[in-house]
This record gives sequence, structure tokens and C-alpha cells, in this order.
Amino acid sequence: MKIKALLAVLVLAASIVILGYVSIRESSYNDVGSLKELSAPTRVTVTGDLVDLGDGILLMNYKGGTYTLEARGVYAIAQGPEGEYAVFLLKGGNGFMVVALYPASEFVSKYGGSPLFEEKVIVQGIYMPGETVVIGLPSPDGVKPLYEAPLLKVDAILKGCHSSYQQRQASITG
Amino acid sequence: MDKFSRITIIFITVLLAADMVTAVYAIFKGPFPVTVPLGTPIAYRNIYLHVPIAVSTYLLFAGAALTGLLYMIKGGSSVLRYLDAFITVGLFFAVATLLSGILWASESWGAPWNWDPKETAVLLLAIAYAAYHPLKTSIADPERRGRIAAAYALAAFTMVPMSYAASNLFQSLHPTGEAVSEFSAGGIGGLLLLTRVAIIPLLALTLALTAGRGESADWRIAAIYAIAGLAVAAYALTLCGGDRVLEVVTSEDGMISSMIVSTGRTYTFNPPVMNPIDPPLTEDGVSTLINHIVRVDDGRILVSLHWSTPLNLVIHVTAISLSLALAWRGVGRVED
Repeated sequence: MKIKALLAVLVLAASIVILGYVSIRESSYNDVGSLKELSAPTRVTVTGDLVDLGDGILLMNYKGGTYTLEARGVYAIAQGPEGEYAVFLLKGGNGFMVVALYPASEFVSKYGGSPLFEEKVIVQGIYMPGETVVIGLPSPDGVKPLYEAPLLKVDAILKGCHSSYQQRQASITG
Repeated sequence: MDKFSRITIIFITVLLAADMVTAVYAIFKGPFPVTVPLGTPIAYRNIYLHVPIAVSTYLLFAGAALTGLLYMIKGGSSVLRYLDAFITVGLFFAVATLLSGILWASESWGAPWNWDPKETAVLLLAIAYAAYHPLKTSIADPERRGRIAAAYALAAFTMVPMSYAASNLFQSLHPTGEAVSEFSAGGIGGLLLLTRVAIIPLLALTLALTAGRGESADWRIAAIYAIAGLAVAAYALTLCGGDRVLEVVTSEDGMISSMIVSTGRTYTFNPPVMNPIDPPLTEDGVSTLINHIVRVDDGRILVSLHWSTPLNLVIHVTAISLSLALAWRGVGRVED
């Protein structure tokens, strides 16, 4: 094999490696903290830490309406004037938070009645930096804010399948 | 037809039969993880279709890289025919890997496509090799065409390790190869997966070599295989559909007295019925029926297949049938 041909292969291979690596890295999930830089509604897929909302009743102000939140640890179910939502509070590495709202009917049909979540989730949806959601405790004046963060309208919560392969195997009988 | 060709045809026929038998077992009887983070656990039967196709893709492109290297060292138009065959069959399998992953992800990841690093890497892999034929045919001078084709095949191979390692290098929903190895380490599921990971790549490599040799495979085998595969997929599709189980009231021995499904409907069973999943309970005592898609027929709970599995069989059969057609036609005779 001629040196010239070998060099051509190496240059071509290096180009493909660089182009491939950069493309794959860029397609990796952004942290929720990166949304801080956005000022217009944007379709995003981001990863963030789930904030524990505790257990009990909270209130949420969204689009001028007040919702009752039944907190179940890292998520809550909100009921209010515009329907029911599953609510998550996602925190980025830089401390920036968003309130993620997911239609409750889709949430229940996909994730079941009492789903388990890991500390980190990846969500897909539209980030709405102009819309702020307030989550807080009931107070005589309405809502005593605990968290105030912009809205992320979620259309899919993505889950990895890593843990599945360590499970026991099951089969259908009969 | 010489003796070697006859033996090749018999070998291909045996592998196709083994593929079909194990695929049918995998789709209708294959074990799956007892619980999964999202979707119906039975969708994990896709592992028996998706993984062997992906392994075949990597091996076919490795074959292309070796053939490219051989051409650069020794030259020869016959070597180039093998290179074309490895890349063409590899491309069929790469597209099948991508599509089968998309179908499975729609259930088990929550969305069919989300630019996950693994998805992006496999897409780039397919694009890199899809560029091979247009690049090659754009060069008029045969000698130069061969050299550039071989160099490109060698260079494009760099996408194979990158695609394999994408889920190790970046945060990804896709499991690593090590995680899948854990599944293959035990039980009937592991044995079934390993068997298919042996059969399908062997079949794929044999088809590529047959196509490269320019000999004629028997088109009737391809037709029978394709019709059988599509018939199995069509039958499997009739066993899909139903409602997702959200909550189950179960006894300690796994008997089910009631369940709530995604439509909000509550089914009550008096007397209680047996959970059709074995084992009926998780180690935490939760019914393993939760998140499965079921139908209730005459008081019995029937667990439905997930639609992605029969469709993945269609993709699998299509990739192999196209490769069979290529082997039947013979890359060499087309070029000559």
C-alpha cells in the first residue's frame, strides 16, 4: 500500500471521527440549566434533577388559575381550572429550575398509577420562558411561594432501559 | 451449479430456517424483564430482533473494512465485488437497526426519536455507508474508483466503534453492551439471545460473501422466507392491542381479584384469576401484570403483544430478503 493512499485513509478517517464525535456530542442531552439562556419559546430535550416536593397538599398558580397539588415525592398531580397535570420541578446543575407540566391523562396511561422515578429525568417539550408557575403552601392570601420558575410544557418523559437488563426474566404462562 | 454453490444454498437455507424458528419462539414465547421503567415489559422481546441485527451490521462493516484493506494491498476486481457486497448488505442491516430501534424506543423510552447519542450515532453510521455507492459511481476511472472506494470503506469504519461506544461516552437512554450482556448471561432469554446473535450475523456474512462471489442463490428460498416471515408478523399483529394495566389487587400467591386499566375501566374477577405472567409478583410483592397491555376474554386475562415486535419482524425479514435478493442476483454479475 502506498504511503499516499495510507495518508488519504488517515485524513478521511480523522475527518469522519471528528465530524461524528462532534455531532454525537452535540446531540447529547442538555442540562436544564442551559434553558436560562433562552428568551423565546423553544422546543427542547433536557435532563435535570427531580426536586422532592414532599407529600401532602400544595397550591400552584398557572395562567392566572389556582390548582390544588397532591404532592407524591418527586412529582405531584395538579387539579385546576384547565384540567389535570403531572407536575415536576426540575433543577439544573447551576441551580436554575423549571416547572414541568405534563397532561395527567397521558402521564397515567404511560407511567401507571404510581410510577417510580430515578433522581434524574430527561424530558421533551416546549420551554416557555415568559410563563412563570408558582408552587407554594396554602395561605390566607392564596399561595405562599416555595418555588417560582418558568414553565416547560412536557410532551414526553424519556426513560432509559438500563435497569431492565438486571431484572429477573418473566414469561407468559398458558 | 458447482458443489460449493449447492453447499452454500443448503447452508443459507438451514440458517434461514433457524432464524425463523427462533424468531417465532422469541415473538410468542420469549422471556422479558419482569419489570421495566417504562411501557409494557413484553416490548423487550424486541431485544431478540434488534440486537442480532445490530451485531450483524457491525460485523458486515468490519468485513468491508478488511476487504477494503485487502484491495489497497493487493487490488483485484473480485475483492472490490466483495467490498460492494459487504457494504450493501451492511447498509440494509444498518437501516434495519435504526428502524427497529425507533419502533422499540417509542414504547420503552417514551418517544421514537429524540436525538439520543446512540440514535444519532447509528444514523451517522448509516449515512456514512450510504455515501459509498454514490461516491464510487461518480468516479469514471476504474482504477481510481477502486482505490477511493477501498479507502472510503476503511475510513468509514471509524464510525463503527464510535456508534458502539456512544452510550458509554455520553448520557444515553440506550443500554451499554455490558448491560445487555447481563441479560444474555442467564435463563432461556439469555440462551435465546445468544443463539440469535450467533445465527443472524453468520447468515448476514454468508449472504454478503455469496453476493460478493457472484454466484446464484435460489430465489425460491428468498420468496418462501419472506412469505413465512410476513405471515408470522401478520398473525402476531392480530394479538396486539388492548388496555394498559394501571393497578391490580392481588393476593400473596399472585391471584388477581381486580384490575384498573388505562381507559379507567375496572375488571373484577370472582373467583380471582391467576396472573398469566410467571412470576406473578415482583420481589416487593407487586403484581407483574402492571403496565402490560391486556385483553379480557371470557373472564381470562390475555397479555397482548406490543405492535413494535411484529413490525420489527417485518423490518428484519425485509433486510434479510433484500440481502438474499442481492445474493441471488450476485453483485459480481450485475457489475460485469
